[in-house]
Amino acid sequence: MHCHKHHGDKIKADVLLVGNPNVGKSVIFHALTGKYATVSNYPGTTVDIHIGKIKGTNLTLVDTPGMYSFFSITEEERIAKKIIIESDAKVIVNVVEAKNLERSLPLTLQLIETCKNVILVLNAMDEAKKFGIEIDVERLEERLGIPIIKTIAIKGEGIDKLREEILKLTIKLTRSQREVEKIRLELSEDIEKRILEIENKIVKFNIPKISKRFLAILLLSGDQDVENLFKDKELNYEDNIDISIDTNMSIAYKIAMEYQKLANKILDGVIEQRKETFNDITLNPIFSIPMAILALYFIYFFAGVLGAQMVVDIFERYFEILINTPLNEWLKTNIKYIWLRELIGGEYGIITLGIRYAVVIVLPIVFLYFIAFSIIEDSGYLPRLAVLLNGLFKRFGLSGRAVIPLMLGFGCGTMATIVTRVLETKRERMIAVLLLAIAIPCSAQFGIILGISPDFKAITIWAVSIFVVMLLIGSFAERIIPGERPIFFIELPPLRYPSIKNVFLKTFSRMRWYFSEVLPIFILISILIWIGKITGLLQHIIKLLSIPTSALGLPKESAQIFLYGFFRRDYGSAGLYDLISQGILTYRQIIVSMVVLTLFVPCIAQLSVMIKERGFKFSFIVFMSALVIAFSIGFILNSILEILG
Amino acid sequence: MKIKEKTEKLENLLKEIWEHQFENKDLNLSLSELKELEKEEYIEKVDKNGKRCEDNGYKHGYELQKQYTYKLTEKGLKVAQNLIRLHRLAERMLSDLLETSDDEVERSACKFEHIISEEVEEAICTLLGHPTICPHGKKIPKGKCCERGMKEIKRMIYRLSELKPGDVGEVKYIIGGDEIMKKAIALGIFPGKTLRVIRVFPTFVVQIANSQIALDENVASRIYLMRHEI
Repeated sequence: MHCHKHHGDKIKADVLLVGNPNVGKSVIFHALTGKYATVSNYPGTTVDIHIGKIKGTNLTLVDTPGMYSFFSITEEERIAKKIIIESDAKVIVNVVEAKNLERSLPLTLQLIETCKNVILVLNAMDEAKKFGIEIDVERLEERLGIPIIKTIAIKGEGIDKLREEILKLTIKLTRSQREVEKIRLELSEDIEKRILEIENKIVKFNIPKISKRFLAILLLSGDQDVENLFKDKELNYEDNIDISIDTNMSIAYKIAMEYQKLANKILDGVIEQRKETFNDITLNPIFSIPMAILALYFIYFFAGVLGAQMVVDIFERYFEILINTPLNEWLKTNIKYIWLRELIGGEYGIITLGIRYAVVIVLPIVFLYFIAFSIIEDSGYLPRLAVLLNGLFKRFGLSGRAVIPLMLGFGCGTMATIVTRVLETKRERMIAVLLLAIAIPCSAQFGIILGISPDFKAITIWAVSIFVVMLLIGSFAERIIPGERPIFFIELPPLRYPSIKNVFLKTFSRMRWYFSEVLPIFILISILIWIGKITGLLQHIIKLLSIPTSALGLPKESAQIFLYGFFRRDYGSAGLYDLISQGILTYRQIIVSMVVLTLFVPCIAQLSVMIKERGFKFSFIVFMSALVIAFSIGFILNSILEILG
Repeated sequence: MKIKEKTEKLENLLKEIWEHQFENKDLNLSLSELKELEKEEYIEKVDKNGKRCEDNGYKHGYELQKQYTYKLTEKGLKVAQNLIRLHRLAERMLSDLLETSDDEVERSACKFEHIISEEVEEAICTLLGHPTICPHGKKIPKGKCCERGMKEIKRMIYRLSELKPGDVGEVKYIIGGDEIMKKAIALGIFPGKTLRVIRVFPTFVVQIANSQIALDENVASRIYLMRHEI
């Protein structure tokens, strides 16, 4: 989530890692460079590009987003394609899952067409063995004319060999010295004829360091990005690619089909599979619902029980004893200006409030949430959850794919808002962003809400209210936001034991992102509150907010908490936590404020990301809706609880 | 000219008119051919508003005469539509079941359309799972059997959405827009690939080679397969 600045720009690279999503590219990247990249099982989560130096060399390695083909274009695939076309890289390392070689080989062939040096990596050889698959590597090497390396990336097997091969291709040997002949790929006659025509048209232009034939193939398939390369050059190839080849079938589909045919021919006699295995209890509705509950409970246990209740308690106590009390005493004796004392310490100071909230309350909850999420993510369970939830999400105008941003939203809404990019249509992204902004509590908020909830009944009322609101908002959005219904089509990776190392590395990289974003905001909030208090501005806003809060039957202190809630949702919840520990709220008031605070406007960080992703107008509407929804639901709930006693 | 040949020729002309009228294909018929069709009351002259006009164009001079075109009469429409349907059904059958080469499909389909009886037509249509487009991606007009959803005859071609867990089939063709085609490319769903249905609820899950793919019903209903007998 930190590398977006690279999108679109030209990337300097010596070696590119290319392959389908979830084939272990990131693990190989990590093994080659020693630098960590997010590894995930859910198709399409690696939107970011990771760049590193191959250990012991000066070669820059770039991990491209997962791609299936040059003709099937999702956002990630487009980015991967652009990097391949625009970079000067001499070597492409094409990682495929050995057991899916048949399906992946067309991409390998397309990469060979670029005329760069391709190394084919057959990863997860152990899994392939389990499927009873045998691959005659020597024969395949001979037929393709490129080096092939077998690896089991998770165990680090074959990585040294791969590094050697990369070095051989980039430094030690030039291509002409290589012994094997490169394969010649021939498509059907009518397509070849058209490729040649286009090639002749573009041959005079001096553009990317990539084969003209490859560009011609992409142009023929109607690729917009390649067309843009020729935008300012006078290239009227369009009259020539009148695609009346013989069908109305999309030309891209036809070309893709031909590559598959070529691949099948090449694999004839190379690959052998003895047995076929498939069984998957997680897809069976009888098992999958308990599994999903188990998974959610697992997250709840980590973030809610372990994080929000146990660890936060311990941290709080020690922070109070070790930092707050001594600090305030030190300030009292050494600093004579009250305004400065208040800025640093006191009740709302940078250290006593900002840093305390960030480190003591938010850190353990978010950290444990991300660990639990990473374990579930790396085990390959998320796509299965997507399958299960697809039916429910359809009512919201979303597809099962949305499970990623929505689940992440239970971790951090800001991060999740960025991750809505993995959704395919603008409409899906809008709906997901809306749900994240209003109905989905982030882990810190969720954790604190679990912490402050007086009993199980209260948490149940809270959960039901939030769920009902989510259903209402979702189905309302489904109706009013225009656009096509999403198409759900997703690959299910095998269930795997997550590697502890990966889970931790991934959690740390997420935490690093979270903290670089969260800590400055917490400090800023402390300063803003300080300014607000000194100038008296805060009092006015709180007075304004106390109109709706008193309508809900809440004490006047709660208005202040809602205001903090805007600065960060978890910050608001943490304030509520303080209020309850002082014993100011009644049982009913606690439930109502839990619900209102959850639904209340997104925090300032999420709002700023939302404006960036979806624009000001949309964000403003969401913001105002959140305000109205939070207070009206709070009012309704309060009345219901009052009647029921 | 033999009678059979004559009707065959007329029928081919009718098909061209139909494609002109419904699919905007250029019309390349000579005036005498048009006259012949008009004589059989298959087509009629209409003005630019689509209203029928009598053959009095000459009275109003040359200008007016140019403004009318030909349109199928009710009788002509019925015959032409049926011919188009038969032709495309034949194409479907030849390419899906018999895996004939593209040239041969065209040549044979042109003969088929003139000889298939209504009964055979329905049998073929049902066998193929009431297909909606021909191998070239053009629409196949619906027949009576499609509307009735006839099922008595044992079918060979099914939509993926009609299969049950455990069923195995070979992909024959996919219909749908760019979106679906691109997804199909990504996940390697091409004609000739064998699919096994693993689940149909809550979402369709199929196995292709060694990977499992989940897809929505709206996608599954656009993938046509030949079901293997188990």
